[in-house]
Amino acid sequence: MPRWGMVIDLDRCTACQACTIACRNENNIPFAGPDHASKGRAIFWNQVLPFKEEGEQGYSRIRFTPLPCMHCDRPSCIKVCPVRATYKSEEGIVFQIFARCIGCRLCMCACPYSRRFYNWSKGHWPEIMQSAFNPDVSLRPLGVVEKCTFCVHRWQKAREKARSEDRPIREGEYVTACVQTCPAKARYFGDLDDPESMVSKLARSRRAFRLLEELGTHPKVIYLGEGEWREDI
Amino acid sequence: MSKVTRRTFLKSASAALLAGSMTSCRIEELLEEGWPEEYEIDKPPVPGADEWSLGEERYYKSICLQCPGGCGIQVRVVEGRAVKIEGNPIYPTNLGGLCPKGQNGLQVLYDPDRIRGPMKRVGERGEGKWQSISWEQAIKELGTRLAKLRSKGESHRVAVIGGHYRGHMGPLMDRFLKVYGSPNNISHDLGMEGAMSAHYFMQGAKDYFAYDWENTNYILCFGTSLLEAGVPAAYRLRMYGQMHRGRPGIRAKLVQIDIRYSISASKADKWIGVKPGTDGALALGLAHVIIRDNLYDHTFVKNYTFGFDDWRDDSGKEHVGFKHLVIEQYPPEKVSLITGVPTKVIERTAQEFASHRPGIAIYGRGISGQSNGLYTCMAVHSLNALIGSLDIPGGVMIQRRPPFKEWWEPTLDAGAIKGLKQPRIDLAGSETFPFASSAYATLPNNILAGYPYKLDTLFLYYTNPLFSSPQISRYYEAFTKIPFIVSFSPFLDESTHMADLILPDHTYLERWEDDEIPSSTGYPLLGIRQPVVKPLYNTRHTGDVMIAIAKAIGGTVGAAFLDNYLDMVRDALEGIRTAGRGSIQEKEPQKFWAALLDNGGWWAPPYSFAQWQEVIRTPSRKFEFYSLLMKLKIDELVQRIADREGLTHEKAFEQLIEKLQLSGQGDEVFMPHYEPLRFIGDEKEYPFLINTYKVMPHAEGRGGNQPHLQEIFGLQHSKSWEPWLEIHPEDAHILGIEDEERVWVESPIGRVQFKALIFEGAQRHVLNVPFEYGHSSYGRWARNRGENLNKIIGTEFNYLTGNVSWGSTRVRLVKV
Repeated sequence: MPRWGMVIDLDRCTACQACTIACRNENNIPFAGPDHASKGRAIFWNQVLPFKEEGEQGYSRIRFTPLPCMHCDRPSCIKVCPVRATYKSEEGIVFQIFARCIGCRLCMCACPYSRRFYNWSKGHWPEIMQSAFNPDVSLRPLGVVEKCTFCVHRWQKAREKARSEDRPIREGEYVTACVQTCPAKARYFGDLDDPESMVSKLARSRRAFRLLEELGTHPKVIYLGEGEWREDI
Repeated sequence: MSKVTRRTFLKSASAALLAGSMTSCRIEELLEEGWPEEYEIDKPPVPGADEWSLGEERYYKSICLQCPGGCGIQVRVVEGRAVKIEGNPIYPTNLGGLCPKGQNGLQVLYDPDRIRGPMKRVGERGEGKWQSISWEQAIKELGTRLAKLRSKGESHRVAVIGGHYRGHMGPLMDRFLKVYGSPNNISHDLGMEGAMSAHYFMQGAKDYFAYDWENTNYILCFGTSLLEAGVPAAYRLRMYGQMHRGRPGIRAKLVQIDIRYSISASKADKWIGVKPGTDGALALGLAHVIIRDNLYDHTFVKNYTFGFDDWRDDSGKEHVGFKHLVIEQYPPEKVSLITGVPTKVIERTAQEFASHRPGIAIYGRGISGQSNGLYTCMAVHSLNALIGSLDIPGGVMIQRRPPFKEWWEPTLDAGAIKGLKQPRIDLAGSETFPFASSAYATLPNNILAGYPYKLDTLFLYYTNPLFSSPQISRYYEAFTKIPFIVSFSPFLDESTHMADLILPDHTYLERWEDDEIPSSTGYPLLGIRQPVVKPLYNTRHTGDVMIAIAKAIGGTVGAAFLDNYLDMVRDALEGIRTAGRGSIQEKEPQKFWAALLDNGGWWAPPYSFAQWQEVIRTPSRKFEFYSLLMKLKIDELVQRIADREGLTHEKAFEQLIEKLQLSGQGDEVFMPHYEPLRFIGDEKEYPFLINTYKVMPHAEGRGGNQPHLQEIFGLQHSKSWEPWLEIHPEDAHILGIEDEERVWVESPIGRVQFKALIFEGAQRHVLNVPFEYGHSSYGRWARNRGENLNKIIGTEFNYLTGNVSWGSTRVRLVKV
C-alpha cells in the first residue's frame, strides 16, 4: 500500500506561484474577489507565503514557502471534527467530506499549518467561465471547509488504470497538478514507503525537514532547505 | 446576463431576424448587463460540441501567449470545452512546466467581457455606443477607405502600432504596409531597444541574447528581475532550479543588482541595491577592478575584441582604449559615490565574477529603458567580453533562427514606392532618433503637430497606448486628431474604447499561428499555435483580416498574399520541411504537418559554440569595445548635417551630440561609459524618483482581467486587487506617512493617488509601484482598480534608440 507524500525543494523554488494557480484551475476553486480577499477569505489550497527574517543589513530577508496541506500521518484536524467529516485514507491522504461538514471550523483552529479554508461565498462564476470547470472535481457548497486533496481525482484515474492492468500505480503515473506544473522542477510526488521512489530518496537528504515537526503531526510534505553559495566550486 | 435556453434561443432568434442587427448600446451596459442579444444567440454555449461524444476528452498541443515567451502547452478539452492548460512535456524550453500566467490562460479564453464580433462606433468617440457590423461590410468599408487614400497618393498617412507579433504576423504586417505604401510600422516596444542596440553595436547582432544558464557559475543580473519578468518565464524559472540543483556539487551564484528588494533579490545569493540609473557606473567599476587586478581573459581579449588597448586609426589619429578609459575614470571609490554601493562590495563582486568562470552579466528593461540605457547595457555587456564569456558553454549565446522559406518578393507599384519614400511619422531613424527602429512615445507630439504629415488611419494590434505609454493624456489628445482608428483587440481596453472600428481577433487559444521562440535555448525552435476549441464568438484572425483588406484594395496589394494566413504560414514553414533536420525529418507534407501538431513545434538542438562568424558580425569581425559600427553610422549623419549646414565635421559632430543630449565626449560616444540620468522636474521641488516594476502574475500588462492572477498579485506584501506605493521607512517617518495611508504622487505632469506601503526593501528617495493597475476599461475585473502611474510619467527619451526613459520623472508626495 503506497503512502503518498510530496517533497518541495526550496533551493529550486522561485516563488512564482504557478502551483497556486494550477491548483485553483484544477480544483475549481473560486476567486474571492476584492471584498472577500481583503477580509482574508480567499481560498488557496496551495499557497506561497512570505516569511520575514531580521537581517543585519537594515532590511529583512524575505523567504517564501509554498504550503499545500501537509497530509499529516497524525492529523490534528481529524481529532476535533464533531461529525467525522474529515478522515485519513488508507494511502495517507486527508480528506474532507463536504456533504457531512457542518462548517463549525474547529478543524481550521486545530490545523497548525492553516491549510483549511472556509467557503464564505459560492463563488461568482459568470456563466461562460463555468466552461473551464474540471469535470472531475465537484464544486463545494457554501459554508463548508475545504482543503487540498493531493488531487485525489487523479489518483482515482491512475488507480482504475492500474487495476485494469492488474499492477500497482507506477511512479509518475499519479502526480498532483502543482507538481506537474512546477516550472523550476522544485516539487516531487510519490510513494514515501517505496525506498526507490524519488520522494523517499529526497526525504533522506541532509537538507530535508518538515514544518512544525515538534507538534507530532508527522507531515507527509517534506521540505529541502535552501543552500548557500560556496566559494570553492 | 440572460441564460440562453432553447426557448429563449428560438424566441430571440426570430426577434433578431425581424429587427435586423441595428441595436446599439452603451459600453457600461455591455459590460454589466451582457452583450447585444444577437451575439448571444448565434452560437450555442459550446461551439462545435456536437462533434464530441459524451465524456470525450482530447489533448491539443499549442503555444502559450500570456507573455512573449512562447512556452509549449497542452490543453485538456472535454466535450469541446477547454478545462485545463498544462505544460507540453516535450517542449524544450519548459519541459512540462508552466508559470502562473500560463496556467491561467482559460480566463483569457472565457473572459465574460470579450468583444463578440466586429463593431462600429455610432455615438461620439469614447462614448461607447456601438453597432454590430458584419465582417464583409467592415472589410469592404475599410478597404474602400484605404484604396481611396492610396489613390490620392497619401498611403503614408496610414500607421500600425503593434506589439506581441508572433511568428509571421510581424512579417505579414510589414508586407501589407510595404505593398500598400506606408513606412509606419511602429512597434510599441518601450524599453528593450537599448539592450538590443547594445548587442548590435558591440556584436553586430540586433537581437536579444540567449544564455547558457545550465553551465554557468556566476550570474550578475542588472535591472531585470530574473524570476519575475524573465522571458520565457517558465524557461527562466526552470534554469534557476538547474543553476542551483542541476549539477551535483555545483551551485551557481546569482547576484541581483536592483533598485528594490524584489522576489528575485530575495531568492538570489546576494542583493546589491543601486541608485536608479547608475548601473552603468557600477558595471564599469567592476570592469575597473577586473582589469586592474589582471583578472580578465587575456586570450579572448587579444584575439576576439577590438578597442581594448589604445589604438590608431587609418588616418593616424590616436584613440583611447577601453582599458585606459575604465582605469582612469571608474575607480571603485568614485563609482561607490555615484552608485551608493560600498567599495568593498564592488571589489569583491568583481573578483568573484572574474574568478568563477564561466559567468554571465545580463540586463533588462530596468536599465535599458532609461535615458542612458544604451550605454549602460554596453557597459554591462563589456563584462561578458572581459571574462571571455561569448559563445562558450556557460556564457552568452545568439539565438539561431529556424530555416524559414522567404515569401516571394512582392511587386511594388508606383503608389507603394512613393509612399515608402516618405519619412516615418515617429521620426525613427531620422536625426532625432538615429538608431531607433520605432519611437512610439513621440507619436502624440507628431500627431498633434501634424508633423511630418497628418495621420489618417491608425491600426492598433495588441497594444494599448492609452494605458501603457508615458503621459497618457497626450495620447488621448492625439487620438482626437486621428480621423479613423481601427483596433484588433479581443478585449475592450482603453484604446479600443476610443476606436471607430473594432475587428476583434481570436484569443490565442482559438487561432492558428507559428511562434518563433524569443532568445532562450540558443538553437532554433519554432512552436505551432493551434486552436484548442472552436472560436467562441464571431471573431477573426487579424492575419486573415489584413489579407482580406488587401484583397479588397486589390491590384499589387492583393496579389502579395495567398488566400489566408494559415496558407502563408505553411508556405514559410516549407523551408523547415525541406531542410530535413532537427526534431522532424519527415519530408512528406501531410506527415510533416501532422508531426508538427503532434509535437507542438519543431526544434534543432544542440547549439554549436564558437561560431564566431555567426555571433560577431561587426566591421572588425571582433567584439567591439569601441563600436566602429556606431562610428560609421554617426559619421554618416554628421556628414549629412555638415553638408547641409556648411559646418566642419567637428562642429557638426558637436551639434549632433548636443541634440542627442549626450554628456559623453569624443571617443566616449562610441564606447561604454556612464551617462547620468536626465530628469524631468527639479530635485528640490520633486525630491523622489519613481520606479515601476513587474511581478510574476503581471502577464505583460494584460493580466488585469484575470481574477486568479489578480488575487496572487502582491505576494511579497500579501496584497491583491489593488496597487501599492513602496516607500522607505525613514522617508515615511520624515513625511509622517503611515502604512496604508493614501498619498498623492505629484510630478510636473500631474498627480495620482496611491496607498503607501512602508517597505525596508525600498531605497531612500525612490518610490516603487507595480504595473498593471489603473484601468478605466478592460473588463469588470480590471476596471477602476487603483491608479496608473504612467499618467504622471513624463516623456523623456534615449534619443539614440528612441527608448522612453521610465525612471526620469521626479515626484513629490503629498498627504491626502
